[in-house]
Amino acid sequence: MANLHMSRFLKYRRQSGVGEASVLHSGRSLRVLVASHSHPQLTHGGSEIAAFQLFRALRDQPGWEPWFLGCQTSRPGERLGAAMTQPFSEREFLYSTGRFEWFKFANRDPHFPKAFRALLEKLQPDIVHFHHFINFGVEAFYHVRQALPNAKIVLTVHEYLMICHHYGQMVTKEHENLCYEPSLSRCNQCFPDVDPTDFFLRRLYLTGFFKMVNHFISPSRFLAERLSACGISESSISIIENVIPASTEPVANLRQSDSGPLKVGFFGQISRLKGVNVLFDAAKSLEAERFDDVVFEIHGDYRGQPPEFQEEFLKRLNCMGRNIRFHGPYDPRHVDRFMRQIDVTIVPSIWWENSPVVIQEAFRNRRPVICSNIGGMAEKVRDGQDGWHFPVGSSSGLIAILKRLCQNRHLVCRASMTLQNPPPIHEVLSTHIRVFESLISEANRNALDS
Amino acid sequence: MTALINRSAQESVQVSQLPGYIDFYGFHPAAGGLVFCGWIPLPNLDAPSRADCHGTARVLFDDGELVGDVVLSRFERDDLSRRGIGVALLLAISGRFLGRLVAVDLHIGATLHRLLAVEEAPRLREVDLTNRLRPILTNALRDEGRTRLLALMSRPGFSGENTLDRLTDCVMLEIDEAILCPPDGLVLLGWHLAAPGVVVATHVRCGVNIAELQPHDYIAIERCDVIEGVGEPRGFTDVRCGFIAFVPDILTEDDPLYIQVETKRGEIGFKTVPPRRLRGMQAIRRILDSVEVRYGDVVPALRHTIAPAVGRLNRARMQDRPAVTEMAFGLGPEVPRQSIIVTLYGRMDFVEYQVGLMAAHGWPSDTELIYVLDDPPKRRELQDLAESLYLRFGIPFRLMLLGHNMGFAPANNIGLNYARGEFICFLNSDVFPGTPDWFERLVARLEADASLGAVGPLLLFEDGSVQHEGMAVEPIRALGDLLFPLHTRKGWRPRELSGLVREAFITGACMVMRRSLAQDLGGFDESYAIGDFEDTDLCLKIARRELACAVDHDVQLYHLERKSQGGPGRRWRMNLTLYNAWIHQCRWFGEPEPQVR
Repeated sequence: MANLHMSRFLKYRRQSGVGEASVLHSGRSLRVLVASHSHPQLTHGGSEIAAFQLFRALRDQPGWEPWFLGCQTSRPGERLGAAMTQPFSEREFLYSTGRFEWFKFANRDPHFPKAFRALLEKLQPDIVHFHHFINFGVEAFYHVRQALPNAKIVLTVHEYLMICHHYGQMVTKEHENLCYEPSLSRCNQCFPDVDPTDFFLRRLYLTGFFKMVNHFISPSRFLAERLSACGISESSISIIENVIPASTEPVANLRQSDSGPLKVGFFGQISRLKGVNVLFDAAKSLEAERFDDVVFEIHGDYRGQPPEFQEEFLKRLNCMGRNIRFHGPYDPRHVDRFMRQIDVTIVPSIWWENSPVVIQEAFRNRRPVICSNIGGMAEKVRDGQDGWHFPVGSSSGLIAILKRLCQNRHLVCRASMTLQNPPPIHEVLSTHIRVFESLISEANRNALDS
Repeated sequence: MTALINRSAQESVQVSQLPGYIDFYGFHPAAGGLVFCGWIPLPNLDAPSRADCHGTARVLFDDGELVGDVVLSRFERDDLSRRGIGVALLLAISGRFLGRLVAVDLHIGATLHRLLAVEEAPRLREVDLTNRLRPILTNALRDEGRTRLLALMSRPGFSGENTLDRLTDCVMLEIDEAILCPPDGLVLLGWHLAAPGVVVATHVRCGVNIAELQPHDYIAIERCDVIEGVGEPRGFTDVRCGFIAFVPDILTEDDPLYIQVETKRGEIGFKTVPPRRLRGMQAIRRILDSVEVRYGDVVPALRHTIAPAVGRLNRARMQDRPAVTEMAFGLGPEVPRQSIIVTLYGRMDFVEYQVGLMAAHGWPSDTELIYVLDDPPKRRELQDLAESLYLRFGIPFRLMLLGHNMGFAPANNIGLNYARGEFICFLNSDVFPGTPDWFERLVARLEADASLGAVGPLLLFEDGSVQHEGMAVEPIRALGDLLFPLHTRKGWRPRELSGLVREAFITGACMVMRRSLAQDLGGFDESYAIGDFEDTDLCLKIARRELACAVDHDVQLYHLERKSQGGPGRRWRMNLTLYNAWIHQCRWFGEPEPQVR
C-alpha cells in the first residue's frame, strides 16, 4: 500500500469495515450503482475509465452486484425521449443528457428526474457511487435521497469544479496563473461579468446538495485538502487512487543505454494547461544550443481544444526542429506500447492536476516521470525516486533536469527501479469496498439504535 | 355702505355692503380667460387709478369656485343714473364652468365687491361675447384696463401653426416629450431660450383650459446640447435652459394642445405640442430619467412636478389590473398552514436556487409556495424552469403570471389574494434559506406572542455580515432631508444575539404575518411605485394597531439585496425612490420643509 495515501479517516474505516461483508450481506449481495459522466465506449477520459474499471472489478467480486450508469452528451434525445437506455449490456445504462446549467451544475433536463428515480427504484442500490456530478447535476444526490432514503451516496471527485468556475482548474482565466485559494472576489476577477453574489449562490447551492453525499473519495491528497478547505469534513473524505488496469504484458525495468538521445514522452490531451508550450519552449532552446541529446515524442490529441489554441499549436509545431516528434492521437488501450518506446514520461501541466492517469500508466510501464512541482503531480511523483520535479511553467528548469539526465543516464535507470508500482486493482477495490461496507454497517447500526 | 374686516394681521379689506350684478359672461379663447360683464354700485369705483384696473377674483359656481387674476374696465351706464358703473372683467383662468354661476367676488385695491349673477345671466360663445363687448369697451373709460382688454380680445387665435419664429424678438421653445398624466394632467419636457424680460407669459392651452407656466414650477435641466447646437450662435449661454413641468387639469379629449407665448411687445406666438405617446411605466421612466435633483432642489421638484405627475401615472397603472394566469405544478396541501409569496422580476434563475435550497433543507408539507411573475417577457423562461424544478424537487407550487408589470406591492397583493395559509411570508426572490426550518420558527414566534404583528429573520449578505436586523428612518440631507429607512448595523458582523428583538421597522424582503392581519391592512400599499417603502409603511400600519414588529436572531437567511432587480442603479430608479420617500413622508411624518436652495 506504499502509494495508497490513507487519510486519518480511513483508520476508522479499517477498524469497522474490512471483513464485515458476510455479516452485512446477510444473504443477499450488496448493490452498487457506479455513475459516471461518460462511458468508456464513448470517450476515453481518465475518470470514466476509472469508474468503469471499478464497476468491472466489483462485478467480479463475490457478494457484490454492480451496475454502471454512464452519460451520452453527443446525441441527446436520440431515442425519442427515452432518457435511459441499455446499448451495451444488461448491467450498463446510458443517460442521454438534456438541458444543463453549467454554472451551478443544475440538470434542467425534464426527463432525468423521473428516469433516474425509476432506475434507482428498480435497482435498489445500497450504494450510489458517482464519479463526477456533471451531466447528472448535483440534484442527482437529492433524487437518491428521495427515492432511496437508506442508500448511501459516495462521490469520487476528479477535479476542482465545485471550487472553481474556470473548468475546475484553479488557474486564472486571463493569464492562467495558479489560483491558490478561490474566493468570491477572486472568482469575480476571473469572471468580471459574474457578480460575487452569484459565486456565493453557486457555492450555497452546491453545498446544499453536497451535504447529501455520505462520503467523498479523492484520488489525491491535494484535492482532498481543497475539498476540506471548502467546508467538507475531513472525516468524510478518503484518498483512494483511481483504478488503473494492470498491463497485460510483463514489463522490465529500463536498461542503461548511452546511445541515442533521451526519449521524453508526452501523453494525453494537448492543451495549454497541459503545458505543451513549456515543452515547446524547452525544445526550442535546446535546439538553439545545438543540444541534440533529447527528443520529445508527443502522443495526443489537440482537436478538442479552442480553435485559437489549435492554430497556435500547429504553427509552433511547424517551426520546431528535429527534437520534436508529433505522433497524434492514440488509443488508450495501446498506451503501454508507446510508453515502452520512450525513456521518461513528462507531465508539464501548468495547472494543479489531480491524479493524472498518465503518471500511473508511466509507473505501470516503469518509466520515470518528469513533472511540474505542484499539486497532484508533485504528490504522486516522489522527486528523485519516481522521477523529477521542475518549477511549474519553467522551460529552463526542465532543460536543467533533461541535461542532467542526459549526462547521467544511469539516473533514469535507477529511477525506473525505484519508482513505485501503481496500486493493484484488488487493493484499490478492497479500499472502496471498505468504504462501502463501513457506510452500510453504519447505517445498519443507526437503524438498530433507532 | 362699507365695512372693514380683518383679512390677516397685516391687511384689512373693505367689503362692499351692496352687491353688484353680472349680466352675461363666457369664455373668450383669444383673450385667454373668462369674461364677465355687469355693474357695481357707486361710489366704490369713482376714483379710477392704475391700480384699480388689476386685481383678483373668485368665481363662485354651484359646484365649485375658480380663482384668478383679473383685468377690469369700467363704462358708464345710463340706466344706472350714476348709482352704479358698468364693469367688464377678464379672469385669466381656464374656461371650466362648475355648474350654474352664482357670483363673482372681485378684489380690487382694498375693496371686495360681490357681483351676483342675475337670473338666467346668459353664457355666451366667443363670437357673441366679442360682438357685445367690443362696443362697450370702445366707449369705456380710457384707462389701462380698457386698452388691455381690447388688446386681449383682438389677439389672433391658434390656427395649428407654430408661429414663434414670427415674433419680433428671438424666442425658441421646443417640446421633446409631452406625457399624459391621467386623467387630464400633462408633463412637458423641453427647452426654452429667450433673452431676459422678453417673454412676459407662457400659457399651456387646450380647449377652454389654460395654465400659466411659472418658472418657479419648473425643474430646470441642463441642456448643453441645446446651447452648443442652437444657443451659442444666438448668444445664449445658460445651459439650464431645459425644463420639465407638470400642468394639472389641462387636457381635453379633442382639442388641440399648444403653448402660447406672450412677449413684452404684446405679441403672441404659438407652439404646437407633440402627441402624447408614452404610457404607464414608460412615461414614469421618461420623466424620472430626465431630472437629477439634490439638496434644496429635491422638495420643490417633488412637490410641484414629480409627485403629482408620477402619482397620477401610477394611479392609472394600478387601476389597470393585470390578467392573472395561474399554473399549478403538483398538488399543494389541501389546507395549507402557511404560504410563501415570492414576486419575480428580472432574474428567474433565483427560483432555481431558492427551490433547490428549500428542497435541500427539507420542505414542510403543510406549506404552499406561490410565485408571482411580475415580468411578462420572462414567462416562457419561468414556465420551462418551473417544469424542470417540479420534476427535480417535487415541491408543489403555483405560478401567477401577470399580464403586465405591476411592481412589488401589487404583485405581492395579488399573491396574497391567492394565499390560503393561516400565516404568510412575503419573500424576495433574492432571499435564500440559511436555517433549515426558518419559516416554521418564525410562525412559532407569532403564535407564541399575540402582541406581534410581523416577524422577520436576521438577513445576511453573502460574506456573512448583516444585511438586515431591523430598520430606523433617518433624514438624508442630499436627498432633501427626506426620511429613508436605513438598515441598522448593515455590513457589520452579526451580534452575539439570540431570540426575538423588537424593531420599529422590518424589511419586506422576508416578512411573516398572519394572513388575516395582512389582508385587513390591505397588504402592501400600492401608492408606492414599483418597490420601496411599502414595508415600513406596513410596519407603521401594524404599529397603529398597537402590534409590534421583531427580528428573530435565531433564524438566518441570506439576502443578496437588490440583486433580483438586475442591472446597475439608474437615475430613474433613484428618482422613483425619491418619489416613494415623498409619499411615505407626507403620509406618516408630514410634508417636509424645503431646504434653502
